[in-house]
Amino acid sequence: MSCGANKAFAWVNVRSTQSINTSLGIGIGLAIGLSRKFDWLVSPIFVVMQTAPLAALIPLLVMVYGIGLTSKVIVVCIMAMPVIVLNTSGAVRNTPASIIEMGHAFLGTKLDIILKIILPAASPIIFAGLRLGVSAGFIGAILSELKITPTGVGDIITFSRSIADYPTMYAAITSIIVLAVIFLNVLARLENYLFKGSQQTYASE
Amino acid sequence: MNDNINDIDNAVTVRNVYKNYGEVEALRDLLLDFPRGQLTSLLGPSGCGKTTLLKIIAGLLPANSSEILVNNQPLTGPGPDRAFVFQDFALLPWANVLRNVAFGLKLLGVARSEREAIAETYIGNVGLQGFEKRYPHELSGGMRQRVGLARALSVDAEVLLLDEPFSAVDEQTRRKFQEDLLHLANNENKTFIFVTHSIEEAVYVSDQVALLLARPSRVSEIIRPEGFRHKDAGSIRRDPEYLDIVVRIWASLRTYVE
Ligand SMILES: Nc1ncnc2c1ncn2[C@@H]1O[C@H](COP(=O)(O)OP(=O)(O)OP(=O)(O)O)[C@@H](O)[C@H]1O
Ligand SMILES: [Mg+2]
Repeated sequence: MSCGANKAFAWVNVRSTQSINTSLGIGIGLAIGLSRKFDWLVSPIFVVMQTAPLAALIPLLVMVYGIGLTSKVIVVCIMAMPVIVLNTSGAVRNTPASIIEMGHAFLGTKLDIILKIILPAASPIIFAGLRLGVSAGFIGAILSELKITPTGVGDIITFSRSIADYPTMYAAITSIIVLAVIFLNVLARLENYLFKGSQQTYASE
Repeated sequence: MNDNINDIDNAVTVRNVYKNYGEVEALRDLLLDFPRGQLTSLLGPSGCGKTTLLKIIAGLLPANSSEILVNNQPLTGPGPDRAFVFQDFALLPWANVLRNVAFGLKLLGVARSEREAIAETYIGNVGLQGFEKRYPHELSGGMRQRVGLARALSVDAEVLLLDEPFSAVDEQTRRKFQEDLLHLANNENKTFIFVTHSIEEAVYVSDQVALLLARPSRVSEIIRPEGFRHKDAGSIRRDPEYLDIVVRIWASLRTYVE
């Protein structure tokens, strides 16, 4: 059966969606944190996304985008993006003014200051947001498979439950959990590798 | 000594500086010269605008209007000729001492091995050898301050701007720092602009002490303690002229405290 391939396909999608969420979310969050105008323009969208009851939105999304991949990707994004974006923008905005001023005093360019001061300073909170966002994204992925089209792991769970094939059902559930844990672990390692020592508190305060 | 202002080579000249924060008038028509190679202290009541003036000279803060020359060039913004030592250190908490000290050089585009070698030298000069791999939160306030000082020294700017650099240290360390600063001022051919709250400290280390009035701030008096500059660090505090000047400055300032 193509079930295995289908499943693998679906999860590859979930994971690439997660990566899109991650980079896009940080990018948008950075822009919101840096620019008041962009903040005014864009952050309400994410506040709405965060508060919207997703289960109620799914029928609407299906009506607009059909039962294909698009709807699922959107569901994952709605789950994952707000927390990533809002955490990033908050962290960026809370970079201590004194180290930014220091960057200017030592002739840092705008890019220097973003890459060498603001991002490392914000990274602990950005990564905390990523962890939450990625977990939420997994919830969104499963939800979309259960509610939109019966494919992938969601389908395996519903189907095996309906025919009382409990071993398969448990295996499917376990595999999701394992995958999510691995993903979060990789994230934690990446954080450690990129920003060693940034978990330290602000010594200058 | 040379009293004719026009003959003195000034590293920084400040004229007609006005600065308002909204309704608050911080600086009004401020005029002050900073002779090259000398140490000038800014002394004045709290909130009179010393930090404001220092940041304007550093190019970090725009004045409402100003005529400032740095090396006879009009001030346009931060420049490689000035380095700032921040009152609150402004260290990067995720970077160790070596990377913090080298950070200014990194922003100037100096290659890694070179900037670390330079940083290493200045870490030694401020007495922090052995702490290169420590993070700021593992250091005492005085040590953090020295990291900030080493960072400013390592970019080799002609003008050093120090904002109350010794406020975070205990009295013993402070005295040690004052002697070090005196030493530094004598050995490095740099212009120091030094903000302090301590009258004794200002008189002890300065070639020139500028007294600022309470807000809106202007320079009310410039005092040049010259008689004991050549003396060694230990005997300055017993010098009659030193004591005289301290008393005189206190007499000027106490009117604002009362
Ligand atoms: N960002 C700001 N916004 C509004 N007012 C400010 C700001 N920064 C400083 N001021 C005001 O300007 C005045 C001068 O401030 P400044 O920090 O330069 O004083 P200072 O002489 O360095 O004081 P201190 O000796 O206490 O450090 C103060 O009265 C302060 O209230
Ligand atoms: Mg101040």
